[in-house]
Amino acid sequence: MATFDLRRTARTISTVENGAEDAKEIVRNAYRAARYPSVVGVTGPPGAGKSTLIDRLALHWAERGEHVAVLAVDPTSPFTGGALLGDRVRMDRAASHPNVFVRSLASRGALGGLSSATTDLAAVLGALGFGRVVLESVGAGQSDLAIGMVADVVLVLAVPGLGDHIQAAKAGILEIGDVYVANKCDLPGADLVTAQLNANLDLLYPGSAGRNAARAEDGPLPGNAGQQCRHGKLTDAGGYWRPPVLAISASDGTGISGLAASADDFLDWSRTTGRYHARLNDRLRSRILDAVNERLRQLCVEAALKHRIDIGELAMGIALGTASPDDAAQRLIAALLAAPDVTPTPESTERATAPLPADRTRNSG
Amino acid sequence: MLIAKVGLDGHDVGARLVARGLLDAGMEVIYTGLRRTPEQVVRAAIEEDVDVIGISTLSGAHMAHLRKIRTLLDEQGAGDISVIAGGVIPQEDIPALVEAGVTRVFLAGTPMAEIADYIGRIRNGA
Repeated sequence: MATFDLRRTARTISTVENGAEDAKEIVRNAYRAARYPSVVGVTGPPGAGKSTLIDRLALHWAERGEHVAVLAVDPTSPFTGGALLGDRVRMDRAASHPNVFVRSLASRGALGGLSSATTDLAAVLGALGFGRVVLESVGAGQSDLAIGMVADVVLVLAVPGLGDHIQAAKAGILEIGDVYVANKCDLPGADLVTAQLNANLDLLYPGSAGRNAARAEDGPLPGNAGQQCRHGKLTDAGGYWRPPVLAISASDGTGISGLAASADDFLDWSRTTGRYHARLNDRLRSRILDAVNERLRQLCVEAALKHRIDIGELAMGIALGTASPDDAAQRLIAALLAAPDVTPTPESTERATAPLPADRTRNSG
Repeated sequence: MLIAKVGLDGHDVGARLVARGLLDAGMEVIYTGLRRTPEQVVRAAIEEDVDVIGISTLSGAHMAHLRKIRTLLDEQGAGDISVIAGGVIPQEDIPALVEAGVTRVFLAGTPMAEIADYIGRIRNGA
C-alpha cells in the first residue's frame, strides 16, 4: 500500500497557504490534473463534537485503505494575527494512522475567501493522491454555511442541551446538510434532538431518509434552488434525497460506520444523478469569480499607483463628505481602463491574459 | 510552532500559558495536548510544517524524550525544525539537553516576550 510523502504534502500545503509565487503554479497544475477528492464537510455549533467525529470517520476510511486528509480550521485573531490551533488534540487516533494526514489551518481573516482557499487545497490534495478530504468548519456563524459551497457532502451535527439553538438561530443550517447527525446519543435529550430535526425535515422533504424515487407531483413546498441543486426536485427522474438523521456517539464510536455508509451513499447518489457535477460546477464558477475579484483588485491598485491616485486620500475625502466609496471605486476602475496610460507590469499582463483552464467539471472518478 | 507535552505528566498550565502568549504575539500555535509520544509529536510537526517544536516538561523524563524527538526529526528529513524545551528543568541538565539537540531551554518564569522574540528570530531564519 503506497503512502504519500508526509513532508512533501505538508510543504506543498504551506506554499499554497502562504500564496507565494510558486503557489500559483502548483495550484494551476493541480486543477489541470483534475483529480478531485471527495470533500466531506463537518459543521455544527461549538462543543457538538466535530473534531471527535472527524477523528472517528477519518480512521474509519483510512482503515479501508483510503488516503484521507483532514483539514481543521480555527479562527485567526483579528487583533494579533495569531491563532491557537487545537483541533488535532482530539484527533490522535486518526492522526496516528499512516493513511491519514492531519493539518490545522488558521482562517487568516479570510472567511469569504476561505471557500476559495479550501477549494484550491482540495484540488492540490487530490493531485497529491488523497481520495478524501474531511473539512472541519470554524464552528461560528457565516463560515458554517460556506462549508456547503466547498464540500461534496455536508454532515451537520446537533447535540442535546442546546434548546432551540439549531432551529431558531441558524436557519441556514437546516438547508445545507446532506446528513444530519445527532451526536452524544447517550445523553438525556438526545431523542428530542432527533425528533426536532426530523420534524423540520418533514416540512421540506416527503418520503423516507436517503434515496427516494421520483414523485408524480411536486410537494406543497417546492423548496429553494440550492436545496434542489443538491437534493433534486421531487419529480426528477433519478429521484431525490431526503437527509437522514442519525444518532451517534462520537466519543464511544456508536453509529460511526452507519454514518460513514450514509455519507458514501449520498456521494454515490449524487454522482449517479449528476447532482455532484452540478455542485462542483457551482463551486468552480464561484472560484472563478473570486479569482476575478482578486485580480481586478490587484490591477486597480496598480493602476492607482501608475496614475498617482492615493487611495488613502480618497478615503479621507469620503470621511470629509466629498465623495462616496462607489465614486472612489469608479475612479480606480477608470484608471484601470485608461489603457494607454497604464503601463502593465509583466506580472499583471501575464495574469490578465492567461487562458482560463479547460472546463473539466465532469469527474469520472 | 508546535507545543507538545510528552510523557506522563499532566500539568499543562504552563504550556497553555505559553501558547496563549505566542498567539497574542501573532503566531500560529498548534497545541497537541497531553501525553504525546515522541512519534506523535514528530509526525504532527511535519504535517503542520512548523518551524519550532516547544516541549513542555515537568517530569524529569525529558532527556530521553527530547533526544528521541531530535533523532526522529533528523531521520525523517526534518533536520531544519528546531526543538526547544521549557518548564521545570534542573539547571545542571541544560548542557545535556543542548547536546541532545535542544537549541534553547526556557526555565519556568521566563517572560513571554523573551520566548516570543526568540521564536520570531527562528522564523526569520536568524
